[in-house]
Amino acid sequence: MAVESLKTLRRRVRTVRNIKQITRAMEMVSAAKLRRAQATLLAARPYARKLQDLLARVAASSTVAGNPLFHERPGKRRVLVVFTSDRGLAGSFNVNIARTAEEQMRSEPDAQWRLICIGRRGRDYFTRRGYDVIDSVVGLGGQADSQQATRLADRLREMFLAGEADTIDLLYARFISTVVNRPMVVQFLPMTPEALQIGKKKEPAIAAHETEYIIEPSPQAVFDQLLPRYLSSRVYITMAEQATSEHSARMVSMNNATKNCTELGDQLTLKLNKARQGAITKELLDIVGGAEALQKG
Amino acid sequence: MADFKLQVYTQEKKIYDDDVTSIVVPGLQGYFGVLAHHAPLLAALGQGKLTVRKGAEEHVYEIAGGFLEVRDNIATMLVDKLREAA
Repeated sequence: MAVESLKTLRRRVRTVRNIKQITRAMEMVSAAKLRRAQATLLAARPYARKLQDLLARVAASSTVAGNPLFHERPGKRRVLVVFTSDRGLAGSFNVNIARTAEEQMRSEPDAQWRLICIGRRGRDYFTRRGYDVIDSVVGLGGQADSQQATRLADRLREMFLAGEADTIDLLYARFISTVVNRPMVVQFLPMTPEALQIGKKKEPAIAAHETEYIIEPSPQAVFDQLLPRYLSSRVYITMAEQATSEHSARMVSMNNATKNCTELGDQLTLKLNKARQGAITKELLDIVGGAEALQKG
Repeated sequence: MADFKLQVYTQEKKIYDDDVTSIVVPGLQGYFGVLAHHAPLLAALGQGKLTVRKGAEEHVYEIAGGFLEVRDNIATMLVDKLREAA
């Protein structure tokens, strides 16, 4: 028994040590990817901000009313775009997002919900549970992709304009800090004038400027051209933020795993040393006992 | 000749930031040029060639649409795609 447990203990210590090496490596990789994702997010912000700025400048109530992307419809056909990661091992990251999606759908049971899944995890989860997954994008590999973002935004816009969906929401993990991210549902379409005018306080200044601006070819034309870009940029930023959250979540969960390995390894090593010492003591006793028996005899 | 600032952004990042002498952009209703001290302008751009002059240097890029804003001697362009013309 003692010999056997010595052997198994040794094996377990080695296993834990190997796992620890892996989790630590994954933590490092995630940290590097997190930095890159943050840089991507940061680099994408000026474009988005400028675009929003321009939109607010040319948006007047007349231009907004004239654009079908702002029309609210009473219909109940809702589309939820769920962003998850392609890979797991990120703790409760994807589970939290999936749960938020299910809560969202349950909160309006009489609506007809359809899902578009970005990320393999979400696609597999919702397909397995029999949800109506109408489309999916997988293989982004935890990175925002400008082309895919544009394609997705165009697809969503067409769905909305064709009347296939009355509302479209995005569900993604909002990056709050390296250790905190929160699943959030934001309305994508129809667009709301409030969502556009972020700088409401600046409005008098904008209005004053507006009279001086030469707008080519016309405010309505510029506005209508800005909107698709704005939507695409929103999807891109969402992807970038989702990627940032994913890598931070994985980094944190791998950091925890590494810590747990250290703890478990220490415990097992202690056990192993005790067992080894016990075995040596027993052997010594045997030898001493044998020698004494010989002397007596 | 006076210079002005040109900044070009794509959805992904800032790709150009420099002082230039003049630019020629593909407006929706034809090409037009911008020099320093241009009046405030906001224009939608189509697909075509963007010509940037900096002193005696001239660079030509291809863009696939976007926007140009000129204000306070700063030209800001938001473009869908930009690449150096062959």
